[in-house]
Amino acid sequence: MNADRNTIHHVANLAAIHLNEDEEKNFSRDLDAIVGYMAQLMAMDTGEVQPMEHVLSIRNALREDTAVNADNREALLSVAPKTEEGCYLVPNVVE
Amino acid sequence: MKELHELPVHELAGLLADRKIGAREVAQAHLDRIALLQQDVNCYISITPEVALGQADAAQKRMDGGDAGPLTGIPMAFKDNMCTKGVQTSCASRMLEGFVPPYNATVVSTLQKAGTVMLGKLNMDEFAMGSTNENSYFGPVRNPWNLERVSGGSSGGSAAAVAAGLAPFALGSDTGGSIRLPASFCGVVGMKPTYGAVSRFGLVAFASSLDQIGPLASNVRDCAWVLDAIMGHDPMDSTSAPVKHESCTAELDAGVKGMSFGLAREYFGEGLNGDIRKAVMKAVQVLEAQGAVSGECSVPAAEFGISAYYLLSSAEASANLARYDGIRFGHRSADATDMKELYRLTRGEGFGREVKTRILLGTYALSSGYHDALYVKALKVRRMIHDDFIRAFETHDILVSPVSPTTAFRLGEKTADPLQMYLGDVYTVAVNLAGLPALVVPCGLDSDGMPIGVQLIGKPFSEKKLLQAGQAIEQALGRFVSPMAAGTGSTANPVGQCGKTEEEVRA
Amino acid sequence: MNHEIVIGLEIHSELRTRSKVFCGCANEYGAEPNTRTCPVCLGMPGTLPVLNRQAVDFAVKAGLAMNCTISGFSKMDRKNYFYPDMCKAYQISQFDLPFCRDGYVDIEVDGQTKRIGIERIHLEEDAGKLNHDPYAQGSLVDYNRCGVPLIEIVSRPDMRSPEEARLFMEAVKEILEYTGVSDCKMQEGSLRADVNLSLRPFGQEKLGTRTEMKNLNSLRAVQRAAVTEAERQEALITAGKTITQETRRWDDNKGESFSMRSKEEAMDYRYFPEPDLVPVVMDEGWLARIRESIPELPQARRAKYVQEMGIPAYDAGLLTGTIQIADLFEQAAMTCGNPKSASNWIMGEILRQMKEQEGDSLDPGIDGIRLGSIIGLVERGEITQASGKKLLEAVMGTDADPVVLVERMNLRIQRDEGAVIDAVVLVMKNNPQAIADFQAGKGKAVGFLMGQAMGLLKGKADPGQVKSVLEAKLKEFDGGAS
Repeated sequence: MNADRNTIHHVANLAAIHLNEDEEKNFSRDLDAIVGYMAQLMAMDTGEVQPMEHVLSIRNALREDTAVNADNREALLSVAPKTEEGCYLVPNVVE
Repeated sequence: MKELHELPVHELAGLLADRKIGAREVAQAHLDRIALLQQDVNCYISITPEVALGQADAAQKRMDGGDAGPLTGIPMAFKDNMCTKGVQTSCASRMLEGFVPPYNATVVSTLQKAGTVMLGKLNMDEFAMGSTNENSYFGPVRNPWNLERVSGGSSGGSAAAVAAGLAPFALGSDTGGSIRLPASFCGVVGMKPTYGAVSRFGLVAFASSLDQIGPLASNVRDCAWVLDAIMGHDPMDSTSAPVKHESCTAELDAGVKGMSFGLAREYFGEGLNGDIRKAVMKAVQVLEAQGAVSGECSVPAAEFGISAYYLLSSAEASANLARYDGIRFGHRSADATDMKELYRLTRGEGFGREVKTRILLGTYALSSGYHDALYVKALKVRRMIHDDFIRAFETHDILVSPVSPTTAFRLGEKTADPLQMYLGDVYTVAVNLAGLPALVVPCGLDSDGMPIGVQLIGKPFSEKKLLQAGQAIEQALGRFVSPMAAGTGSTANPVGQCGKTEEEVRA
Repeated sequence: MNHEIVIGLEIHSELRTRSKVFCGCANEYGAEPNTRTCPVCLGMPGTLPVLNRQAVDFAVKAGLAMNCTISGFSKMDRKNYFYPDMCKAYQISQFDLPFCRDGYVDIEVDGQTKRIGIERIHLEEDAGKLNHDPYAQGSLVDYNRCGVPLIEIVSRPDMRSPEEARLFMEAVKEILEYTGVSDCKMQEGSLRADVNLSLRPFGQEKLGTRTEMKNLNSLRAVQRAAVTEAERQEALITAGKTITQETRRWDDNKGESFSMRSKEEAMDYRYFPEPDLVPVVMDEGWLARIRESIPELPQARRAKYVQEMGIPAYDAGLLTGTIQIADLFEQAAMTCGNPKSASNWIMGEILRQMKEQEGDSLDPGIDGIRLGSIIGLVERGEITQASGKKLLEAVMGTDADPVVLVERMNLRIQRDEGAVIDAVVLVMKNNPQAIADFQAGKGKAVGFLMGQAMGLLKGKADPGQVKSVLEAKLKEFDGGAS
């Protein structure tokens, strides 16, 4: 298991993070070491052990279906970097 | 007469209740001290004197009206990853610089209702990712015991503020040791509660299945007071435990007689600094002297804790931090011309190096081809670690361990190599993977005069018992007060001066 | 077509909850942009989702109505991708443990029943909407729809023609409407489908390379897109070219589809369990409560209407168009005791009036018991057909009792023979021209005189009685004159 430049390039793409050449190189070096260390897990025999996503055995944390109409649009939009006509503005999305 | 900043929460509360001091006076004393020492310690990101004085006046009114709780009028500060309505919540990131949430975290509302007085928002590692508090967009926190040393992280601001007397108590968050490491490095008491004991609503998520909010204070009793205020079920957090918590303060001085303490072999292996081993064993002796028993035990899977922890926390972080895209809040790159660029540049500019490292690692661990080999494997190891602890608790009430292989080291000493940095979390991460509560109590100083903490790990929801044990240690060994807090607050204290125990200070 | 068409559908349906799936924002269509948003559905830092119980109930209800097995243990997962309509850059969905799996829906093809398998039904959240404004400097994002609960119904590749695809979509729509799970307003996007289509030589087991067409939001579009795509693939194969596995976007205005992305560029969604939510465990009691809330479904009702009530198949189809009409019909039929009359009244009066009304209200304006009692009054000859319609009109949209109203409006048929004779005599006296016409053999005159007499009796007489009296009097008159 390793994290070469190509892998880092691919992963950064998935994570939508721009990296310049130097960063790509440095992250590749750091992550290669980290992933290399973590390869210890591969050697580990986990047998029939079930994955553990939650430590607590809480089940069915549900809310009742009641609508609270607190229109707070202006306050919510006020923390956005760019808005127009009550909407969030993004560069043109071409499908 | 001690100065106000030297007093623990429970003593301040007594003075306030007896009308010997006023809430505004207490708040102002702390604000004055912050103004004096913030530049040295850099533990605050935002200081909020107007909020503090307003809340102090409101608290005073409540006390005058006989409507006060134990924490009414007590100054405190939040780690800057807890959302505070109307006050910047930056997570020490360029990404959220200037972000003012239009809502409060549940802990913030809870403490507001309890009548606490917010002094400001505390420095941290960016998005709580780090062990030294050197990964802050607003500069590193410096250790009040020695300004050339790190405070520990990621709640470095919280620990340093308490250690320097710049807040009677603080809230921090702990994902893999982020309350306990800085508590140990700064010589204060810190508790990472059981996963689910304190609401995470409004805590900016790092790793949702591991994050937990907890208190940092100068002493065990204060931690108990704060825990009693913040633990409880929150319908806004689905992972919040629907249980009734026992009072942590009621039987705090019950002692440890008959309690069984386990020393996990894996936590005392190679790489542990000798001073630390000695100090931790001293704490164990103290417990035994008060009627506790101790014995060896084992948590074999813990050796894989670092791998499992960094994979799982980074995987969750990679999704939790995907929302920072420059659209609805936070930083937005000015240079983007299309949507893909907006994402890539915004995130490239907004996140610091360590955050990027974690996001890349987490994305890698979840990506097609590695998902089962890394992510799922780590989940299995998590269960093994959990089961190891549960087994150890069959014979022991509490496990005792060091917090870190070293005491606070020099700023910049380990920043070049992230893997080496991660390995420093070897004693803390397994607790989060297993969702257990753990308390750190100062138990000594190393040969350089830097504080050492001991970690007490308990069964789920055994906070009360951990605090009783912590109280027993603190009663026997005394409190450890940083030279900065012990002094008059001038910066003239020689850097690197040895700390003194409370007894020495009193003497 | 030289090949067999194989189609599978992925149907997305918004659930008819009051609030969104993870927060308390109202689940409403058509509000001003971003007025139905809050920190939770905007994915603001530190906020957490809490699952809406009703959304779970609806997802499971849909599954039970489509004959699925319900998972005792389910969980939510994160599906990661960047797109500006998705606030958290992940969608909370279900990956390996959906609420429902392995069900089926039957459709009628050329008079034959065909079973279409359902692979799974899972719960997820809807995304916001992007308004691509060519004049603005960018796109405008409205997150009102972000976090609206959605179920995705994934069929097995069991359909063999575009028509079957449409019929399946129709059948699913009907079930969702009957169970109240979704309002299925396709023009508002609350029901939409992706079509997976491939071709293979007849008789071949192995499936061909498939394409996926996204977001078809009308029944017509589903069928048209499938026809067009089958033709496109057929042409490619005929030309000796290969089909590329890809996602395509259907343009309903142009009637053609365009490639969005190929398999090579396929998304890596990096699914993992949603750590902010806990698993859902369903016990028998909970399931039973949901099961009990499922009404009889349209297919079963149609069969009942035809086989047990003697209703023609076409009429049964109309009567089961909505659950409101079907319930109205059944109640009215039971009250008046005559399903055929009930059917006639509903198709002749109720459906006509609903059609004339503006808007898309599903409310027929009257309940089955009162409609049935009006029909009963007419059936038993207590009021005339015309009075029945008058009565219906008066009752519609009110809660008035027709039995009380019939007296108040004085609609009950007059059976006083003397009054009828008086009226007939008077009418005959006043209309000598009509008598002359009658005598000249113009049959129409009888009808005219009938109408006059009924008018004089204010429509309350039994038309049969009036007719026989009139005929008798005319005969008398005729006889007397000769």
